[in-house]
Amino acid sequence: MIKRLYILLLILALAGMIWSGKKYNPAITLRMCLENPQQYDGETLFIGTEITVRDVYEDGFSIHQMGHVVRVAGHPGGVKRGDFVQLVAIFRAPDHLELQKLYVAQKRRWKIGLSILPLVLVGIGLIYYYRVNRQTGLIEERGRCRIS
Amino acid sequence: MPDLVTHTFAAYVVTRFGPWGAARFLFYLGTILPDVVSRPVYILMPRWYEYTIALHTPLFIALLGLLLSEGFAPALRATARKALLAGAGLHFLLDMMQRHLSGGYLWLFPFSWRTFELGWFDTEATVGWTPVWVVAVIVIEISIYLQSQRRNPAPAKRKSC
Repeated sequence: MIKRLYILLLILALAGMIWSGKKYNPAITLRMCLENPQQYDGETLFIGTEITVRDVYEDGFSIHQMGHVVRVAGHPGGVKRGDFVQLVAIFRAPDHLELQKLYVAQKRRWKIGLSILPLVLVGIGLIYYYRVNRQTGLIEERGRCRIS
Repeated sequence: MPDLVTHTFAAYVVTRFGPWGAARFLFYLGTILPDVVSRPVYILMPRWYEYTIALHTPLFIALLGLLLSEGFAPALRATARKALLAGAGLHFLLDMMQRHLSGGYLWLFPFSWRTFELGWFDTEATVGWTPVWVVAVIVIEISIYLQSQRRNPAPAKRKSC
């Protein structure tokens, strides 16, 4: 009974934290700016979640984030179409940004791809050393056949 | 975050020569856990990003580690708890060394929205080192195998179970 209550409390705490992260996040997002442009005109925002460069121009570039495409005014540096970027920018109503700082995550695709390898190896290691006891439903170490 | 190869290599270095035994794989799980629970959501479903804010924070991962360790048999539970939490601690230690435009991670969430980081390297800087980590693991494992062979030359093998 106490164990079940403990597990329930842990689940509730985790769910509460997820909800709290969504509800009380003080960050200004691009979506918020585009929905209420006058309210957020002149606000500085950090945009770093899954942003790719859509097009590059002489005086800036455009970014794509979560279905929104927004023009960014500022020196495009070495960005190329398709690059993952993070930026700090000032929002200007109705729908564009003034670049303050830019970071180009040039190896992000490699990073995501490479990260699958340890995931697979750790998974194999866990399956090799542990198993689920079907009677108890709990994970236990596999008994190994000793060679001597 | 550094890439998961770098995170796992750090965990490998920490646990390979210690008394971890099979539990080192639980340590590895702990070390990749913060990224495994958070990154796929916002890479595959970026619109859900706001729900992932808590997922890569120390308190959330600590509670998740406690929850996961309850899935282990009682004899193994304390070891699982220790390995998962220590592995996650190592993950956050490496993450703290990075440099972000945003100023870093929310270490004290949900009690504070302040961020902090040491800013020693960029978020993609470790990617170029991953071949070195992989080769290092292979060399270490071969060395361990050869040493064990030298110490215990293989006798005629007999199954004891």
